[in-house]
Amino acid sequence: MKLADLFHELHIEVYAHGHNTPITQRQVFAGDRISDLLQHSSEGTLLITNLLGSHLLRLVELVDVSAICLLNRQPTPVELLPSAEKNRTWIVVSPLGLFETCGRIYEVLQREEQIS
Amino acid sequence: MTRFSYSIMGGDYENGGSASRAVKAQLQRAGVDPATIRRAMIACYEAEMNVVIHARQGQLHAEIEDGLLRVAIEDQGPGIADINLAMQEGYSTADAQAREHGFGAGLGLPNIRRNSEQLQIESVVGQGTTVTFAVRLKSAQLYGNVRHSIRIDAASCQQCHSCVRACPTQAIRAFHRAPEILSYRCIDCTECIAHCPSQALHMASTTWDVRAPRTTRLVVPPEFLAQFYGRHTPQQVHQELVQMGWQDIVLTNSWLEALRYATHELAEQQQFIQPLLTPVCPAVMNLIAWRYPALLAYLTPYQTIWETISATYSAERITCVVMCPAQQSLLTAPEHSQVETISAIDLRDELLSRLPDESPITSLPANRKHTHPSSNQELTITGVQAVMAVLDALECGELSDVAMLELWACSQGCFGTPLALGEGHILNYRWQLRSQASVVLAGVRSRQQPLQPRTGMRLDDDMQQAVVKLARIDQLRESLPGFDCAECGAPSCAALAEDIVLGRARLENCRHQKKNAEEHA
Repeated sequence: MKLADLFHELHIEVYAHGHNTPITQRQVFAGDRISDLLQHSSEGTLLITNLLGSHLLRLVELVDVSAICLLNRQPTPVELLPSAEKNRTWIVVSPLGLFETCGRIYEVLQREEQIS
Repeated sequence: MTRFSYSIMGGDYENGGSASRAVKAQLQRAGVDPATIRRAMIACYEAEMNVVIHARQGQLHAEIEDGLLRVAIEDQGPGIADINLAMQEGYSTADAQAREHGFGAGLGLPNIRRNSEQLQIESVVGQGTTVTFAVRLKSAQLYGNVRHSIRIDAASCQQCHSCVRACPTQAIRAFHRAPEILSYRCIDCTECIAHCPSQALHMASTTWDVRAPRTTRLVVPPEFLAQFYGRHTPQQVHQELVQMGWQDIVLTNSWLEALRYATHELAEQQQFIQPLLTPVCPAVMNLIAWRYPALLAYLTPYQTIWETISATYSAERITCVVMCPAQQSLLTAPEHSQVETISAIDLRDELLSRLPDESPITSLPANRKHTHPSSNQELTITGVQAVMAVLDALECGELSDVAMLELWACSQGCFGTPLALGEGHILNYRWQLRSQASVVLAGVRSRQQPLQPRTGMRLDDDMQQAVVKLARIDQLRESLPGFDCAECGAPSCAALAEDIVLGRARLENCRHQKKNAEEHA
């Protein structure tokens, strides 16, 4: 499943578009500690986090993650978006909390992987 | 050697990471590959944030030498009482403010250790700490950093090695579960994609999202439209594209014809070395820059149509339909950041889902002449093997009777890309039937800097070592059977010998060699 389809299916709002790459369960990581996120970030990774602020900008600038999903309809930091667009990193906001967002993403990707 | 230093302020969470960002810019400038940069950035950022979190101030010193990035971060802070304890995962002395910002996982130093080499920590309690580490940049230093847009889906790979055999530049190795691409050799042609029976090789994803079109102008190559002409009318396709949100559909042939016209004018002047090579196909340009650098002088001093189109619409976001990985790599370069790209496959599938199943074919324009002046000294070659044969001939000075050369990596030019639906000759025929009698010429744009040769592969930074490795390769090649069967995962025995010496493969990868050894045992 491609990232755009995943976000659409889960009503996740898109604020910055990146490369529409395929995503699998193994490429999704959720965490609220920068070191955890750094450790699991790579090209093709979708990070899910409650964190906001300049450190997300650094994640985008420094380690080239594919997508960052914020939670609970949090307002997206505006300074994040130009850098995200430039680096082709998705910035999206889920209407749900961390646990529920992860669960829904897992469910959709699991179903997709069973079909394929 | 390149050296640089940056200041870091304790407690400045807003600007924390700026020094690492500056190091990243230096590494990118040096042509280091993205995976190595990512490792270096994790180590740098963790070390820099340790200063922000724990110290009053500090400095980051970095130097690039002998294929190594060496970083020293010294701070004036409280120091570390027990370094062994600090190295344990989960141990942290970060305060509440740091934890609020998402730090304090106790993974900082372990992350540095994981992503670097030669980590050393010196600390005096009450005075400060110095953390030094290195990141090896060897691969990028030796092979150069070349972006390409061919991707491999390991799960779909049947390990048939068709791609290994098909690649005209021997850029693919399959020693492990899935093939790997040696980026310094890849020219972004589509041979591997065309030969893969399981679609494990494909073009990198594009930025387009059907539900959120963000541009009103779509740039379309005729080769894309020709796919529909057996079943749908041009009007139907145009109408659907407008329905999808693009109010202005621009065809690329205006730029292509302009480029041909300008090249023809140059050829007429006879002031340039001939035959003139028209820069029509980015994959062929990659090939020339990598394998035939002496022929770069034959390229006309114009940009490709994609670069010209991007410059024409530099003030607005546009969407370009890309027919191959070479176009995708070109348009996703940072200087074309206002350009969105759509894979020809994705847009075709979307259009086919919207268009009616079958439609009558409309009447065709009767007059189908080309707009650029024709010349009997123009030679157009398509298909990468034929292109290489012609470039070999050109290198040997055998084309003195040709004034202009137009070379395309795919058979029938972009009509033959494996990303198109249908056979290239048929698509070309259908387009010629339906194309307008004349095309309004768009502009051409001069290339500011001549195209540079690609960094070739060096066996070693140290010339003495390189000579030793070369001798070892020759020796190994003699001992291999010379079947060039590609069963080992390398395209030829010579390539396997080189891979063994460079540590990418082992002698046991050759099944014939292994069998011989077992028989003699």
